[in-house]
Amino acid sequence: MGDVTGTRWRWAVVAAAAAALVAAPVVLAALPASARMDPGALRARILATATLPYQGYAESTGSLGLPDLPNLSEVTSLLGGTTRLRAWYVAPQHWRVDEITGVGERDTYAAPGSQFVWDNGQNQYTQVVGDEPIRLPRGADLLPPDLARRVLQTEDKVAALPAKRVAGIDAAGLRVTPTDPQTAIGQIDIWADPSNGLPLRVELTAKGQHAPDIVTAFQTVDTQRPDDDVITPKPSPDSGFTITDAPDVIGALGQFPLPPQLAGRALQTDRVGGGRGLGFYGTGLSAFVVAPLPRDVAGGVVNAMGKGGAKTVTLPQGQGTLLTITPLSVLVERTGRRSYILAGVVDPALLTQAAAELSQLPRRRP
Amino acid sequence: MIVTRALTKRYGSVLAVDAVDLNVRDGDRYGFLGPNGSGKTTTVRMLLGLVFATSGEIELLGERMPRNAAEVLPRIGAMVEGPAAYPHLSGRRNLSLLDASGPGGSRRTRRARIEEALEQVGLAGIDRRPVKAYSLGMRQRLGLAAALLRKPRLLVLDEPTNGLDPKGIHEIRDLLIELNKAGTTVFLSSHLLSEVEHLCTRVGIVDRGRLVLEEELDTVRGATGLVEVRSPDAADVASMLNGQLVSRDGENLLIRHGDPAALNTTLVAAGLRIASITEQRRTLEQVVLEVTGAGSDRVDAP
Amino acid sequence: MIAVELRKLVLRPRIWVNILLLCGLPLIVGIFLKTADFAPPPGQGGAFLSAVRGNGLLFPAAALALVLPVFLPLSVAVVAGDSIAGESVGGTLRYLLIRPVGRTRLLFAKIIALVAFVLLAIACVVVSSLVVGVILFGTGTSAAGGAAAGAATSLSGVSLTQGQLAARLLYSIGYIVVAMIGFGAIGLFLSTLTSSSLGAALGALSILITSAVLQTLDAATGVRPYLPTNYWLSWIDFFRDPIFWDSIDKGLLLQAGYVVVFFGAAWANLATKDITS
Repeated sequence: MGDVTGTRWRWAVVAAAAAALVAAPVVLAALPASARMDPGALRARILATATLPYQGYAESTGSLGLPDLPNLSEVTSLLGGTTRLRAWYVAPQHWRVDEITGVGERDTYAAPGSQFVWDNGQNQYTQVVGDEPIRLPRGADLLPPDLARRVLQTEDKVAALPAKRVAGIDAAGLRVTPTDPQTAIGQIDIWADPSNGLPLRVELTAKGQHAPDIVTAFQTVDTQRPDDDVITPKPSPDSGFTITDAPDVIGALGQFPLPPQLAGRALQTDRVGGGRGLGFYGTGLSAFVVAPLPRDVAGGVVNAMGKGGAKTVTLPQGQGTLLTITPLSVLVERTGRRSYILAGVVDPALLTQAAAELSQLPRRRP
Repeated sequence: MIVTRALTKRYGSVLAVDAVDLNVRDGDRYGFLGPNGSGKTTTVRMLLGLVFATSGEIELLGERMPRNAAEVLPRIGAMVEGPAAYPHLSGRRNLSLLDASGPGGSRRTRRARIEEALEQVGLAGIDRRPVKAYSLGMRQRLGLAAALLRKPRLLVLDEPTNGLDPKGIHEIRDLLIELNKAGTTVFLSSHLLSEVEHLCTRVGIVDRGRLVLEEELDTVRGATGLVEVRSPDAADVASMLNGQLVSRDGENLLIRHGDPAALNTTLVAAGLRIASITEQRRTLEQVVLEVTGAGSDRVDAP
Repeated sequence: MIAVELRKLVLRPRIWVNILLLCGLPLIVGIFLKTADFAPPPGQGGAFLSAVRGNGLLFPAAALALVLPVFLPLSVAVVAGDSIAGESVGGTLRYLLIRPVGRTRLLFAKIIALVAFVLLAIACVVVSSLVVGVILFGTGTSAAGGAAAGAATSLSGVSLTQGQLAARLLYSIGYIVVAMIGFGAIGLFLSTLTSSSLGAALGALSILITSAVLQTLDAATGVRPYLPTNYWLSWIDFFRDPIFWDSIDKGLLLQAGYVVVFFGAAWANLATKDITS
């Protein structure tokens, strides 16, 4: 009979099905992970993965509320939002990464000696010939293997972390605590597949914070070598095609020579075109970047930083605008003739010191 | 044909149908009477498996309902609370779709059965107009045709003559009597006394959810023991039958007497002129008023 | 019963008006695109819209992107909301049930009719927009000198042959049909709760809007994978090269979950409900 009990068992079946369906992803994500590996050995294994092919899909989420800086929106969105990345990797000079958005994508193909960038929004292929010694951060930098290897190359103070399940893999964890006191990074947690060392998840936490500021992790990953067909660019005849030379990127930035040392950190001459234009100072997690800004751009950047809550710092010559969004600090230094932007995941005091030294450079043209 | 035992339906705290024991026999023309809101429609819906009983049992054509609905219902034709049809389709299309949607209606005979049913209810000549252009009476006839499509053994009809003109009511009544003679049991639920009085052989009266009377109509309408006499010599009649006179209104007299024929003989023998003499029978209305309380749509001040 | 429901569906003028409106939107957009001299800035406006001007064969994809966010779910909500409530308010539900049609069977027939409607509506949109696209914008062969044989460019910048384009369009249609059935399941369940078709349709739409709002809210990240609309746009991933299956697979699983839960709830409710209308 269709009485009260008839109603009850039917609803019970439906409720049980609903509960099971809602719980399934949670349960799958919470499957116990037990992988354990000596952190030093794991670090070594991770560093050896540069030639390990893989293909997968990763999502990176940054919770840094950066203001929208002119000409830098691609960078700010990397740190302040979710970036979805499809990756096919064969070797350091041979890979493809697609940054995908709802209805578009921006694909980078790396081949020895040149890179192809496909921008779906512009319907345009760009071939960049020659190695790019310096460039802005891009989505591919946030892939767990790239990020983990970059961190571990300069840091070796590692400790074990409990295992975690990432993309269905029982991953062993390690924690990196930066040795340089002037970095703003508190710790970096890395989980990697213990069998082959492939980093699967990286969490970056600022000093004094509990929740990570940037989390990047594979959703699915496979160490099968991707087909050459996939990582070879095949420009469509209907799309635009341009070729640029890599050095132009720097040439546009200005010709002022940078001092060999700032705030006690050495200029990394090997990474920048002879110390002209743009430069990296220091190493590893306490490195910061210095770049000249055209006058007109500088005004806009300072304005945007002001809206983001920047404060003004007085320098021996000229003025500085400092914006700190933990763990990132950005400082724009303006004197009568020049403007520089300094940025890094470092103590703001370090940037201020560097800016002060910059402002006192002798007034001479190269 | 229809047997219920202690059939009860409770909506929250309201007892809509309270321990009803119906017994409709094969061949009956059963009138199910009751004021509005007395639980008639709820009972009919329970019989047909639309509403589930809180407790009690239902047997239709000897099988348990609603458990055996799939076997029982194809042999039943029903109209519940007015006809319903898809307004944008023609009457024929509506009948054809309804017939095709369930068991017991062969596809081969469908067209012929539809024409026959339309003929029976007096809609043989309808064209391809959509049902939304039909009058209320036409819709009523169409609903009846739908109930008749598969020559059911039992017809369950709720207010079937609603919206029909007097001629239409008469036609439908004749149709139902004819079907009944051919062996169809008719269960008619109505609040119209005259409809039941003219059509039915048995009557069940429901009031505030309870079945208060279930009886042959002839028994219900039994003699009252009174005789109505009309006479130009009313005064003499009155004085002659002094002890038996109940009331007098001009030429009309009401006399307590068991045998009108004997009374007539007595009066005529006394030389009194009699214009008419009839045995008084109870009307259905009187019976209903006796056994039921106020209708549920009446709201008295406390 | 299924055949009867399908006949009822196609005999219904309202259904055809609905589909006509669905086909109308891409037509209007196409005419404006043709008459205006400038294309929408790349990367802005609807998906594929900027590419359509060069190749009419992509217009069905653009048309799907146009109708998917609002128009198509609106139609589905109206049809699903009407499925049981419409019969109930018209009184035909009680006649169907005493015909007799089993309640589970009736529900199943309504589901099939809903699926048929979604297929029919999308097929009409695709075919009409294909015709409109080819008439207004051509097949894009002229630009490539005919050698590319009407190829379109995928989101990943790789040329697609006509065959590939057709296959991916078919995949997309399949995916959208599944997404709409998942959404329709909600409407069908609401339709068994109320006897007002409009109420059920509005209920389904308010769930759609709530879901769309939560999707953009960062604080609601935790529930995002469960939102019915979360993976709706993943059919666009069919136009990447290689096809990006991750979101598509998740979307299909999610919609299957909605179908199971809400059709189950509709069944649990209707099978034991007192029909008093």
